Amino acid sequence: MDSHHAESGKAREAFRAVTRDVAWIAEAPKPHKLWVAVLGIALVMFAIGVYSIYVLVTTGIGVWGNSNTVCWAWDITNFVWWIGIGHAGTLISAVLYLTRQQWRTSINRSAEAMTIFAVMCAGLFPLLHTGRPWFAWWMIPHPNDMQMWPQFRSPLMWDVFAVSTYATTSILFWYMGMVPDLATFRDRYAARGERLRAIIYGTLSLGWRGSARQWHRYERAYLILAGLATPLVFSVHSVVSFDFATSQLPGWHTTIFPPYFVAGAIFSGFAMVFTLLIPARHLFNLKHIIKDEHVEAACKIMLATGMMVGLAYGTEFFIAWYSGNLFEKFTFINRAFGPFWWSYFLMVGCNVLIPQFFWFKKIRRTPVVIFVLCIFINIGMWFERFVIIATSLARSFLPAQWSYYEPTRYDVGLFIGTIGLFFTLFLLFFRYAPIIAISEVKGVMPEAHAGKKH
Amino acid sequence: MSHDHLHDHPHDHPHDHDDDDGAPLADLPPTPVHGYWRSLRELDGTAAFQVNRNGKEFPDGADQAPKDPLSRRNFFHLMGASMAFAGLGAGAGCQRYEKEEIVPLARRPEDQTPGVTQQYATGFELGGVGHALIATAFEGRPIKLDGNPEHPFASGGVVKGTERHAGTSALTQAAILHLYDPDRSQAPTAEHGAGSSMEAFRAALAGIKPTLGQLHVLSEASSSPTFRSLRAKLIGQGVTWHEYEPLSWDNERLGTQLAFGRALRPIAKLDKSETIVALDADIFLDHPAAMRYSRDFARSRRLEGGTLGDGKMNRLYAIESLFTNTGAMADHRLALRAEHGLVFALALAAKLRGEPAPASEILKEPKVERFLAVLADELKQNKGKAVVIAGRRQPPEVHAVVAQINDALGAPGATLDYIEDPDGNRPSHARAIADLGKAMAGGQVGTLLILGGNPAYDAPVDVDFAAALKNVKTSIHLSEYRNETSLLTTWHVPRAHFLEAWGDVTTWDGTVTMVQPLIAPLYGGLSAIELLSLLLGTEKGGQELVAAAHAELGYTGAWRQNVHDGFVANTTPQPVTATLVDFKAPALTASQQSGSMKSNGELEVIFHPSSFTYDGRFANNAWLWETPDFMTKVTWDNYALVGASTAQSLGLENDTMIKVQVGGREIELPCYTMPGQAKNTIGLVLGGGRTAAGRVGGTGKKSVGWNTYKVRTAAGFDFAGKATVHATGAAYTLANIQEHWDIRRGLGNLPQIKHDETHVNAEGLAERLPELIREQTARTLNENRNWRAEESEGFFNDLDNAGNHDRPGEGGFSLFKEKDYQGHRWAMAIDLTTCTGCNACTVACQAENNIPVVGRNEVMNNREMSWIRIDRYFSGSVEDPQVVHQPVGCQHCEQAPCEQVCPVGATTHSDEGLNDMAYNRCIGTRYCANNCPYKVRRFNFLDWNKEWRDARNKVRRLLFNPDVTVRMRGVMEKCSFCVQRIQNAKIRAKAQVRSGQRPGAVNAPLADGEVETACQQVCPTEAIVFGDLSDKDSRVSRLHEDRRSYALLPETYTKPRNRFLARVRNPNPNLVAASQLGGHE
Repeated sequence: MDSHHAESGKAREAFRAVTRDVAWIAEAPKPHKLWVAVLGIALVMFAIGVYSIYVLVTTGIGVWGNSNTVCWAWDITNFVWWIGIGHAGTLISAVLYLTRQQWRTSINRSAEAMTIFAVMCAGLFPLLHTGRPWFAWWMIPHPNDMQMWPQFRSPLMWDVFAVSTYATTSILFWYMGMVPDLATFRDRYAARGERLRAIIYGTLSLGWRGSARQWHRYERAYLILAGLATPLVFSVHSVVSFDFATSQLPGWHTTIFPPYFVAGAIFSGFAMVFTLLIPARHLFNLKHIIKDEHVEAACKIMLATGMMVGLAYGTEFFIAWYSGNLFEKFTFINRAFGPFWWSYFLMVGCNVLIPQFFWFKKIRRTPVVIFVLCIFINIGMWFERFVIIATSLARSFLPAQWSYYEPTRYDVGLFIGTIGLFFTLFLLFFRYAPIIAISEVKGVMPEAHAGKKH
Repeated sequence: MSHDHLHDHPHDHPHDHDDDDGAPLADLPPTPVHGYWRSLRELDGTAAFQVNRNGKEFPDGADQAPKDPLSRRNFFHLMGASMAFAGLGAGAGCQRYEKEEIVPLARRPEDQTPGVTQQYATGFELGGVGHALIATAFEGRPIKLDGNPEHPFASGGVVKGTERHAGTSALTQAAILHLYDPDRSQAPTAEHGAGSSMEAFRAALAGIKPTLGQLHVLSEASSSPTFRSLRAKLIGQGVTWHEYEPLSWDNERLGTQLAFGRALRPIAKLDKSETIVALDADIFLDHPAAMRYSRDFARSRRLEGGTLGDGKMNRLYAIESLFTNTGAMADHRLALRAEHGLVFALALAAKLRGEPAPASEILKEPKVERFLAVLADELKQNKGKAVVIAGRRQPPEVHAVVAQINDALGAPGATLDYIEDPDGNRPSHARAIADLGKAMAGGQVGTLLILGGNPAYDAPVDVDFAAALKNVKTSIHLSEYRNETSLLTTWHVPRAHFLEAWGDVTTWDGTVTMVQPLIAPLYGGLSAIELLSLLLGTEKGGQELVAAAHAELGYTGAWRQNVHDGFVANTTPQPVTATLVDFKAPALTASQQSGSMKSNGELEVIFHPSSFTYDGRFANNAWLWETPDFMTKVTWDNYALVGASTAQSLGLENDTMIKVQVGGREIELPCYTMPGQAKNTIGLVLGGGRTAAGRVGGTGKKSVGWNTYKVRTAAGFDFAGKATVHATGAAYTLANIQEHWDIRRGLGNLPQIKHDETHVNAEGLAERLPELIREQTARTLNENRNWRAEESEGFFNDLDNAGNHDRPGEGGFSLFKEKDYQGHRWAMAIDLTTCTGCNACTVACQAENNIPVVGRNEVMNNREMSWIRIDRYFSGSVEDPQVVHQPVGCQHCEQAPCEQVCPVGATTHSDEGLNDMAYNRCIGTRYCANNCPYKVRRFNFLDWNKEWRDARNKVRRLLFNPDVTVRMRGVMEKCSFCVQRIQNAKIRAKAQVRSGQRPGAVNAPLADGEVETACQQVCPTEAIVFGDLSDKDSRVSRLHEDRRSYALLPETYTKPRNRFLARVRNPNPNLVAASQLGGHE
């Protein structure tokens, strides 16, 4: 009995430690200096983006490098890249939840937050890439007296629904999962007498009391949402890939795109999660929660998805040759050896060769190396989208219209701006929200299963 | 905007067209078999062809767009946008217009129905050659010019199976833009620029009148009978007259003087010619009768339904120095230095007579020898069915020899007519200006009246007109613009545009053609005849002057009839019988006796008219500057054309700045390397580098292009030898619409990879172009009746009849339900056999459809807006290439890929099969353009029409066609098959049925030919045919059934409503170039 008491006391202490280790980040009276510095940089980047948007909207798409031949370039590249990054969040939250991958609990909260912020960045591009963004709401079906109705054969319409569904589900999932932890924050602030914060977190925690019934319903709802979100992991990027796959442009018109895009999205999503979490867990002393084996598991996923992507690259080339279609064949030869060859080899280098390092356990256990490799993967995945979009458009059917693409400062500025927005939001989240799913981590701690020994 | 002048019509009758229808070669890379290529950059894979953008990070201009300051107007513009954001719904689809007052008409002007355009016959003169036109006016403002299909020379009578048709050139199409040019001169200036008034000028003229004997007049060439009659009167009063044109056909006139002892004008009858030889003559673009020649050539070019009878088509031989469109159309082309034109002509004449050829190395070059032998053989066999035409550049002796050849061929009367030259005794233009210059420099000219022109800019450089003008006490310049010359004269008087003043002209065949104004002068301004009349002291209006001159000349026909028809009947001179006199050609110079191999220092400089500005006079015409050159596809610049192998041996490449030195003078300009150009020749394109053209073409500080007149002397007026060329080391990027960013700067300058890049391009082209451009020889077509263009090439022919919308149920399949068309099914057919690539369709479309101009920087950013473009492809070897022009507009696919991807349904299919664009619904995702295999969609990347909102440019808005929406930024646009013309034709037909003027039901389909698209109407060769596929007998239906017809990219199953007709060549079997057989020499 005593030992049991002692054991449960030890467990309680361990649980408390988790709560404390997560909550101190928000409770610390002054933010970490590095946090302030990075936030400052992010805000400057965001300001560049705001200025780029201002110039873009007031002057026209002509401030970009897009042309009549390369009608989409950085705009849609960035869109697909950000959407792809968003994928890891749902995958970690929903799919790994359903498959009972307990290591997910250490990273799911921040992965979900990242998803939401990435989708926000992504959403900017379809809106701003339109020539008249003030009319973009015409894509939303709504009763009106202008006899307008969206054209549902267009994959862009499917995008509207896929991305908005994804954003809604992700936000719900993230927020709902956060409710018990927000209540924890509320209680801690209330105990310390910080009324304002207690009220804010109290409002956000929707009256969570931690009763058994609430936990029961919470678990049910979480399961249902996970079930609902799981198809989204596969559907969103499949739908995004339809933008290209259903068109007739050689290099876009490819049935392999849905799985290829999904694999790529998960690949890039994991890379981005660990680009953020490796420094974060170091900075905020979370190594005992986000453990090395968690990072290692993610490396294995990146290795697997990276090879899927590599297989897709190879398959595309094979099919281009096998099809006998000279336009198709040319498109792929041109990708690798045409004027955009450098972007193609950047893509292959970063996405196919770099993940091969993850075969080595030593590398999978060395966070600094993983961090660097993840950055490469992020770059490579951006170039994958660029290669698909720009090189195919620049050399399509009629040679008289062949062209080249170069970005302008406003293309770059908007991209920088979204990175700034992403980091700004992420840093704010890190400072003010429970960045780790406290309750879930506790649920998978060895101490939580102490009783099962009997 | 004041409406007063708009309703004040000086014209007589509306034209009722509505009723009656209106160096060492070895270094060059091998050419792929059956190889096609767009440019030398592509063919030559070496690292040499690299664009230096002076280390700039971004393409020129890519980042310049938003530089406009936040003016008050812009501020409100932005406010409008933010309000649209805020209110969303409130801003949808509507824009706020500026407040303006309108004055409604109390009584409708006679003969005018609001909203209905009217057509008036008028005429236009360029370089002393008249062109008969029909001008379209909307509520009193002219908005479009077209050929007059009833004019005897313009239309040439009705040939069985073809409509009456009168094409126009790109220059004519663009001439209307000057009418509304805000940069035109708006008031007289006195004393070198001081503002003045018309009254003051009249007073000054009155001062000149008593001393007419000391007055010299320097005039542009004019074919106007009224002008000539006034001129005769002035000369009678002692005025000394000089005539100058920088681009002149004097050599031909002087040549006939040598050959016949009198000045005659040869007019070829190409519709009756089986063999046509163009000796350094661009008969399709650079000839006074180019429009007529183009059409006649096309009519005898048709293997089926042509004027030579079924199974026969003409054969064109071109011997030329530069690569012109005539060379591109030719079945056989021989590149020769211009100076060798005489050698070739003499050799051909000798061969025909059976005499020994002149001694020249060039004739011993195997290619020349063989060409000459085969050509002479064919001409001998085709006596009475052949004609030789020598070009403007060739000296009089060549024209004389050509006259002898034509005589030997029995051409006069059969394939060639001679008419009296109306101005036979005039000295040549180069001579006239040189003489005047001498007199001016010598102080013998007290008063000089300059009628039009711009001698300070375009006179031969050795005349030094600007300096000589300083010795003239009083000088007056009548000009539409305050140009380089106006800035130097004491007086400048604005000249009325031809649509603002009465006049007359004669077309090249001598038919007197009326010039009827459609609008009162926008900026005041006098016409030349009004000014001459003032000098004579008879202050008469233009109309009176023309009427008086016509009465004097005894022209028959009622005035009203003449004005209505646009020409004076029975004024066409009858052909004369020309008898040769004894003429001995001069001895060949040493250079002519040598071959084509020359060293630097012996290069030949050839002056070439500009496709953009002609001789410089259209320099303020943005439409023309932005219309790519016929052959180089460069916009917004002139340049030096250097033959490909010559460029290689001199170390030049595209965009290299070069220094051309000739006769002790030099000029720097960028170089364009032209395949197929004669070895060791430099083509200098005229008409650039204006310093007082206007805000478009150049002001003192900034000009478009380079002034090549700086090296043009009176002696070397057409071409000059002994030139030296060096690269200056600098580079200048020419805005080429077809070679956007071929070679990329930056990240990878690894030569190995670079080579692969261009190699990849070249291979990709070589593979696909036989499918895009289908070709066949006349012989094969005659021998193999089963040949079908759509089965000839392409790799998806197992799709059987994919793309054949005429044959439902036969092959083809679609995921989408195919539309069942009732009523009209509009379609187009474009004949690649007769398309000369003259750009007229592009400019006509621009005028008809309010297509904006984007400027040089945006062209370099690949944002040009043309709805119909002409793709140009080379094939064969670099030294002896062939060229195909392919006009590409919206193909109006029945299964349009653009429609499926538009999220807001802004582009949809009409019940008549048109692919329509709803501009105000478009949100600008540009997905449609990505999905268009033909890349014909054009996006408004910026607000291209912004400048027309500026108060001083507002007048330009009068030119807009009110039937076509002016597009705002952020929306997509493209060819609409001139849907406004279709709708207007329907409305007209319905109105006619209702008023009893037309039998049949109100909703009866339109007859074939009732709707003409702008490009079709303007096409000089009738290569574009538009019509209704539901009408099985329509011309377009028949052409779609033709075995030469094929759809572009049939494997995409877009089912285009436009089909191309395969290019048919008619090579002489004895002279088939290896390239035409699919290999190379």
